[in-house]
Amino acid sequence: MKFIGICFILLGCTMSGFIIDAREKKRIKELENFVYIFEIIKRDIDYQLSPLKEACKNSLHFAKKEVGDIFKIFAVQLENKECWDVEEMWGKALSSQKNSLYLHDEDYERLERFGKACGYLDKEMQEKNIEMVIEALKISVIEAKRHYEKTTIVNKYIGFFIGACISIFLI
Amino acid sequence: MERKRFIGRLPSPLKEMLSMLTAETFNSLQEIRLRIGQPITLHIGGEQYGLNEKGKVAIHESYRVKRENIEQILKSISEFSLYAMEEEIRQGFITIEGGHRIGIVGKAVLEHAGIKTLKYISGMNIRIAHEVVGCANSVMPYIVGKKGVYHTLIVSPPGCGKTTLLRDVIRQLSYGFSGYGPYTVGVVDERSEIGACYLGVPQNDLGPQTDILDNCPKVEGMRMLLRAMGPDVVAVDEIGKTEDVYAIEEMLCAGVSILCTVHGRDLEECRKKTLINKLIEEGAFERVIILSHKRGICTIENIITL
Repeated sequence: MKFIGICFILLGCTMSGFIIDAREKKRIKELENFVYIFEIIKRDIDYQLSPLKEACKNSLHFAKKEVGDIFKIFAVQLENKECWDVEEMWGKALSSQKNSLYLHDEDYERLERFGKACGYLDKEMQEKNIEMVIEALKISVIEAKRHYEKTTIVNKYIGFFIGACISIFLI
Repeated sequence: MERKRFIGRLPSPLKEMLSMLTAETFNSLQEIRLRIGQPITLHIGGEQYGLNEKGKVAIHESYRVKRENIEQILKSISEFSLYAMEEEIRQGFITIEGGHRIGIVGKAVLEHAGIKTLKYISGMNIRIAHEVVGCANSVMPYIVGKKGVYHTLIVSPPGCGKTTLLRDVIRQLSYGFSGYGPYTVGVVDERSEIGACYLGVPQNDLGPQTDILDNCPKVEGMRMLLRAMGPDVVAVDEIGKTEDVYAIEEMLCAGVSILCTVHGRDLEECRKKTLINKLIEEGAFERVIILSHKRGICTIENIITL
C-alpha cells in the first residue's frame, strides 16, 4: 500500500514538473505565432490595403487555434460594431482567450499595444504600429526562450526531487 | 433590402432616425447632410427637411449633429480602418457598399503643395445612390442603331442622375436592346458608383456582358480594358482631365464606342470646357444627352445628334 502511495506521489510530482516545463514551451510557440500573424496582417495592409477585419480574417489560416480565436473574435466584434473603441474590442478579444493561452502578464501588456493605435492612422503609421508590436513580441520571445533554457532542467527534475523527498519523509 | 443594408451601416442615433422614414420617403431621399453643431438636413425631391427620432421633420426640429456622430460614421464606413481609405479621404469623398458617396470636409493637411489628408472632419454629405431600372428606356433608341452603339456624352449638373442613367444604359446594352446587341461593355468605375462593387462583385445590375474595373483610374482602366477584354463599348463617369481625353481618343482609334458623362447644364456650357470642346470638335461624340432635374431625377432635357 505504502509502495503504491509512493509511486503516485513520485509520478504526480514528476508530471507537475513536466507540465510546468511544457507551459513555458507553449508560451514561446504562442508568442512566435503572434509575431507571424502580425507579420501577415502587416503585409495584408501593405499590399492589399485590407481593412482590419479582413486582414484579421485572412490571417486565420496561419494561426494556431487559440491564437487564431483572438483574431476571429476581434474580427467579429469589428464586423458587428459592438462598440466604437477599437482598443476596447481588442482588449475584450484578448481577455476572452486568457484561460486558453500560456502567456504571462507582460506578454499581454505588449499585445494590448496593438489596440491602442489601431485602425485610425494612415497606412504608414498603421504599419509602424504593427512593427512596434512585432518588435515588442520578439523581445518577449527572446526573454521567454532565455527563461526556458534556464528553467527547463530545474522544472523537469524538481518535480521528481520533491516527490522523492516526500516519499523519503513518508517512509 | 438596400435600405436596410445602408441604414445598418450607420451608427446610432442616425440609424434609428433613418429607420423611421417610410420606404417611399427613403426611395426619394437624395442627400443627408451633417455638419457638427448644425441640424441634420435631408434633401428629398428638391426640398429640404430635418430628421429626428420621429423621422422626417421640419429643419428647426432636426437633431443637431455632434462630433462623435461624425467620428462614429467614419469608423463605421471605414470598418475601423481609416488607413484603408486614405486615397478617398484625400479626394474628399468615400464610396460605400451600395454605391452611396459620402463627401467629407475638414481641415486639409498639405504636403508638397498637395492635399495629404483631411483631419478634424466636420461635415458630411451622404449622397444616396438609387438604381432606377428602365430610366434609360427613352434614350436607348438614340444610342443604338444599325451602325452599333453611338459615341454618347451624358451632360447634367450634379445630382440630376448622370450616373443613374449611365448605369441603366450599360445594363440595357449588356442585355441587348430591341434586337441590337447584346454588347460587351467595359466599365471603368473609378469611384465605385456605377457598379457599387462589393468584394469585386457589382451590387447593381449591369447586365451579363459587362466587365467592370472597380476603383480603377479612368485612363489606366480604359487601356487595360482595351488590351485585355476586347469591349464593344467602354463606359466611364465624369470625364474632364487631359489624360481622359487622350484615353478616349485611343478608344475611338480602336473602334470602340464610348459612353461617358460630364458636368454641365447644356452643350454650350460643355463647349466652354477646352478639353470637352476639343473632343466635340473632333467629332468624338455622335449623341449628347442633356439631363435636368425639372421633373425629378433623370429628366431628359434634350438629345442632340452631332
